[in-house]
Amino acid sequence: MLPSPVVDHIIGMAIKDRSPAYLCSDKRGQLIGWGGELEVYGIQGLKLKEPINIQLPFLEGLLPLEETSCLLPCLKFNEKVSADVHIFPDSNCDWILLLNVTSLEMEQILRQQKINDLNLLRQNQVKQVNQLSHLRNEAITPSVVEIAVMCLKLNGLTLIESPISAFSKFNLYIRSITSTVADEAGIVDNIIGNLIIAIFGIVPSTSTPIKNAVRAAIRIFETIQESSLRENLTEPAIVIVSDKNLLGSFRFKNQNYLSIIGGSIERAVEIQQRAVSSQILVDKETFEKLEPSLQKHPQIFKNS
Amino acid sequence: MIQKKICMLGAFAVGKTSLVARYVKSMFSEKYLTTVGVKIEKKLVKVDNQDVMLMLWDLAGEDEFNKVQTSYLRGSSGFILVIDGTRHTTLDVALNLQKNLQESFGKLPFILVFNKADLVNEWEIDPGTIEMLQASGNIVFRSSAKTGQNVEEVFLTLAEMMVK
Ligand SMILES: Nc1nc2c(ncn2[C@@H]2O[C@H](COP(=O)(O)OP(=O)(O)O)[C@@H](O)[C@H]2O)c(=O)[nH]1
Ligand SMILES: [Mg+2]
Repeated sequence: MLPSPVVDHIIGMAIKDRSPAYLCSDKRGQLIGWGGELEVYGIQGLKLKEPINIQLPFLEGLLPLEETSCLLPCLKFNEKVSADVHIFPDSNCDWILLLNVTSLEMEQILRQQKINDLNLLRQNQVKQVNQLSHLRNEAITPSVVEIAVMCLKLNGLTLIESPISAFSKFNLYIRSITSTVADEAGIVDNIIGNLIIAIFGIVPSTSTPIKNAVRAAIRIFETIQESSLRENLTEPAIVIVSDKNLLGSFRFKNQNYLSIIGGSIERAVEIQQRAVSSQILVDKETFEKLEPSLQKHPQIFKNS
Repeated sequence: MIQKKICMLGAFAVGKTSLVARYVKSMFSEKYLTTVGVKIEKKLVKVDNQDVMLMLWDLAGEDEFNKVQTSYLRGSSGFILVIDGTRHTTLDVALNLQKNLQESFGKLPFILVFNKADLVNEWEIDPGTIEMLQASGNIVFRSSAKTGQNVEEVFLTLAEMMVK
């Protein structure tokens, strides 16, 4: 048990600047009481014994509560005020508690705006590099870049009974992998048979190519586990290799194609033969560069 | 009068806030302002000569770190799943959300909205994919919050589906 001055202090802190206000509804959804700083939220003209969801439309469909309580974080009451809305049941009524979170929300908006702007920028860059590598007619200036190559093998497709369903799964798989790779600043460079090759380090990123590749690999496993893709298919085997390579473009059949020369792609494909389903096999030099926590990750293995 | 709660769902920056602003206030802005939490807008419509008050819950978009709060969805009568035609990943987000919704809330009416139709030259999602979704029984619209194309239709169609 905490001493009461401590409890009082905690409660005082919890409601400081948060303009608590409450409403109470009976189990038929009629308003039976209210109090606190309701004017802060622009709530006025309430009528006793009348339906609460008509008076306060944000409660539509929520009352009466069935056992469990419910939190609606950061609900905007007008342009200026937002509140966390806590709804919890009592023996013969439901309580609705409002706590002002406007100042916290301002900080969160600034942070989230940055994150979303960066994500949009990233998606745009990936799109541009993809266009460059497959469609454009411009050559790019050759350079040396540190890249990470991910070689992913899709297993089990032949086990599916019908060819049509095999290819529809293959399509789904590739789409899901391409978007996860793009999220981590990678591009899918090529698809050969059931091998997918992705390159990290061409699209600018605040992180390193290796970290991005490993994060993408872990997220690919997570996504596949969450989604329906899992049915009938064994998980892919993933290999990650990194090194300095030459980046440039070559001309073939009247088009320029992005090209990476330097052996990393070949090595990734070669190591892939030793890779096992649901494992991320990392070449020795790259493995040494991983953070200790990733070296101990249950799905990450060193190729030796 | 009946009230119906509708949730706007989808990845970030697909146009959820813009669709609601276009529908309720006939406004559009090019500027992107992230939504945090939820803002509720109201709009009165007539379905079969009956007044229906639509409560539009404009939720924050889903990204890697912020999953949609399921508490926001309680009490909904229908959903609008918004996809940005120029970003393929936003379709995956929408389809995944739809699957999760069905698991938690059963079969509630929903509409798939492919937004930013005014930018159709930049679309990554091809017509074949949309037709396939339509053929498998989904209600699908191509809309633009910028020009207003199909915006009224989306909300009215869902209103009719919810009232029936
Ligand atoms: N060209 C075009 N831009 C749109 C359209 N709808 C939304 N936008 C823009 O896309 C960005 C994100 O829109 P917003 O409504 O905030 O997306 P939300 O995160 O889903 O709420 C903004 O810059 C909007 O101006 C549309 O139909 N056409
Ligand atoms: Mg928004």
